[in-house]
Amino acid sequence: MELDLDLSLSPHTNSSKFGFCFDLNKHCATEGVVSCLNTKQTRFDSMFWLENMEEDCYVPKPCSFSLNGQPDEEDEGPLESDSTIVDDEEEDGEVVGWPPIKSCMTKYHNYRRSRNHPYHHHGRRINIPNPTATIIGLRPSSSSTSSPRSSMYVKVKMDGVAIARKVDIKLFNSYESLTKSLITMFTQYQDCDREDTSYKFTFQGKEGDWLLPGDVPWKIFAESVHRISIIRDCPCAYTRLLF
Amino acid sequence: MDRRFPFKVLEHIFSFVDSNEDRNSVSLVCKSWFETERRTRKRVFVGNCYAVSPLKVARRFPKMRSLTLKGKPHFADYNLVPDGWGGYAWPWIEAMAARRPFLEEIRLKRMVVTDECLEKIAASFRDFKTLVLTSCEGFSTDGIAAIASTCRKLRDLELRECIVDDLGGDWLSYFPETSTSLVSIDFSCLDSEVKLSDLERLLSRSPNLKSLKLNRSVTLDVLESLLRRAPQLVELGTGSFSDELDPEEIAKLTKALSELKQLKSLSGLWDLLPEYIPLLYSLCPRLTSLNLSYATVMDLIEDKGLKTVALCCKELRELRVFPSGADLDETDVTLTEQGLVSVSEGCPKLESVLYFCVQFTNAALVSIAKNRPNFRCFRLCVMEPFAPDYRTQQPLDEGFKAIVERCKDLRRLSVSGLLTDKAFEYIGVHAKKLRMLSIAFAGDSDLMLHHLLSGCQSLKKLEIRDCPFGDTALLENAAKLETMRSLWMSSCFVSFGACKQLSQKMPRLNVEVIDEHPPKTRPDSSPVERIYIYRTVAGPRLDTPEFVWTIHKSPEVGVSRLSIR
Repeated sequence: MELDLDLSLSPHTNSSKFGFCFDLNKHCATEGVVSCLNTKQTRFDSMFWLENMEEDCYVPKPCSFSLNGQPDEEDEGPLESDSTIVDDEEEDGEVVGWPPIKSCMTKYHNYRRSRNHPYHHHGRRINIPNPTATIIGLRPSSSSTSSPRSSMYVKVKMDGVAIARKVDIKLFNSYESLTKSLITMFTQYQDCDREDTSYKFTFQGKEGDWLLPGDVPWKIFAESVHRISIIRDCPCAYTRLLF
Repeated sequence: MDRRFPFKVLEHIFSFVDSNEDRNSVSLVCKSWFETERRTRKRVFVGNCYAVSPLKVARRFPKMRSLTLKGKPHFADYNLVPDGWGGYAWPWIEAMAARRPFLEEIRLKRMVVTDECLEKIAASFRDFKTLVLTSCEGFSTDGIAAIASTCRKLRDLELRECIVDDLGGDWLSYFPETSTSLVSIDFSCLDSEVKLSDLERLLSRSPNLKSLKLNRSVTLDVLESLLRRAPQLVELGTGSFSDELDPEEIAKLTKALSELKQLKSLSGLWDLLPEYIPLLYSLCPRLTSLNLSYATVMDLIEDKGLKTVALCCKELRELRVFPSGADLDETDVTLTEQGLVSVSEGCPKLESVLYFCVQFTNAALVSIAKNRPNFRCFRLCVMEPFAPDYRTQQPLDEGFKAIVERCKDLRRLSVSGLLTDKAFEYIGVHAKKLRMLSIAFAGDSDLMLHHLLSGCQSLKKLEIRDCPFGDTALLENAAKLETMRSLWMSSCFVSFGACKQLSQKMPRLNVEVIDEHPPKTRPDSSPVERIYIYRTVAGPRLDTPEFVWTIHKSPEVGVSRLSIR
């Protein structure tokens, strides 16, 4: 199926402003959806504009829905300005008002993003549009993807514990300090007796491979670790948590 | 022979008629009923502050004791309405202050409220009891201090998710030193710290306090001391729930929490640490409302966590689950549709839910509908726009069909995910009691809107963004719009010409165009970025900012901006 994905001039002159990058790859996994998309095509032509697709075949891949911050050659018209919709400073620009979360909540989440605490579970990069940056235009965009990395939060999952945590790797300087802190964090309120238990740490890098502590030098590890898994060999049952 | 009931008899009968909808019907029967009803109405509700003039309302209801007003469209919450759009409380406060000094309660939602408004309220209504501001802005803590210090009979002071110019926590010390009549206080949206001693003393001298919602700056270590002074609480919004407590403090807090025998609603829980969740178990069996907005379930508690909620909170009526921000790179998403299915299975009284999720399935929606036909409010936000059922890749049409078919009392619905026109056909056919519907990134064509406007009999508020319908459905169903409170459409395919036609066709609708970058000319075919259409008996409003135009009724004039400056 050939899709004509050029930008088409249409009466909908606001299309450049409202164009966003929609990755068809995500939604073309089966036949069923392709037909659905056919009817959408005309809509897409005039409503959205899409970056040129180089692939013919559709491969599903996770895609963050984003407002296209990509260059539009025709964008110098009267409609192009510091609009309230497009915030060009956002690395992967988001659609205004999506997901529909009130600004007091996003303010809270931005606050949490900036906190720097080793046991701070919530500091993940959040793709919530910063409304104040777009509407009032006073506060700068606080998307952490555009600022130098001062913290790097990594998800930690301990075997048998339903609740995963996140830690900021940048706050540690060695495998030993990291593993010690993690053990403390997870066992603080557990019934398990620490002397009896042995913990096995494995780290997953960005490539997906799992490593043991020490396999790579700490510095390299700290830049590339993506996930941490802890397997615990503990003889006692944990009744504390109902999970 | 005088066949009319004497006024006194009618008045007595009408005193049993509480709901405003019923009262509105009563007032349409005949002139004497209209007169009697208006002279006896105490609680006045105006769903759109521009639908009627303040003066008219003040004159019509001489016995008014309570006024509720709503201003901006709901999508203003998500920054789709630029600042300065309108919704000013002042004209209303001024009108009421002059004519209805016995007013006791004012509830405002999405309005601009200034310190002058608050000072005017404090100065004008000597029996003032209740101030509830939801999603309002424009005032500072000075205004709150004025209310606290002057309104001696104050019972309710609630600031729900307002944007306040926070000048510090002193306002709390302005309450009278003698015992207060406070029943509820909510300052959860304020940032600054209040003095612990002020708070403790206030609680000690407010024996009637039933609802307390703290802000984030109130730390966990002081919570116990506060709760000890208010064990009669029915609603609690905690402050921050993340400080490290020593075992003795934990024991004390556990005890204080378990003493809250009447507690039904729990919120706050900022930065909730997972290890503190067991502290809340003692509260669960009685909880009817659980707001996990700030407890960030998606980060912490997986589906298993919601399963626990399903097991423990059998009385739960309302649940809100927010994301901390969907990290779409994560491949193992641990909060899924299963969480909501569990809660719908386990909580027989659940009737209102707001649930954010990365993706969903039709099967889950069907289960949820089967489990819980008693939903009145179902708001599902599948955060990835156009996301189909991730197992079958089908649109979520069938899932939402199950919801509207089974939940016959559904009043409010927000849909999301991949939806075709079929979904809206189902909604039009089945959702007969639906009053409010929110739609984003859905549908295929005009049929979608047509199904809704021709089908949903009770529809009062419709808000749509980024959907591909255009003029036809709008014009065909124009009459419907006068039966509704409002219609919001943004980033759809509505043309300027259609807006003009609509405005001319329907004299009692205000058709407002919101356009921050107006083109030099507006041919009829040009699309309109955002429109807000609402019924009104007050004509076009006079306080429109530069970026709002009301489409004029006469065909030669395109748009007009009448404003007083």
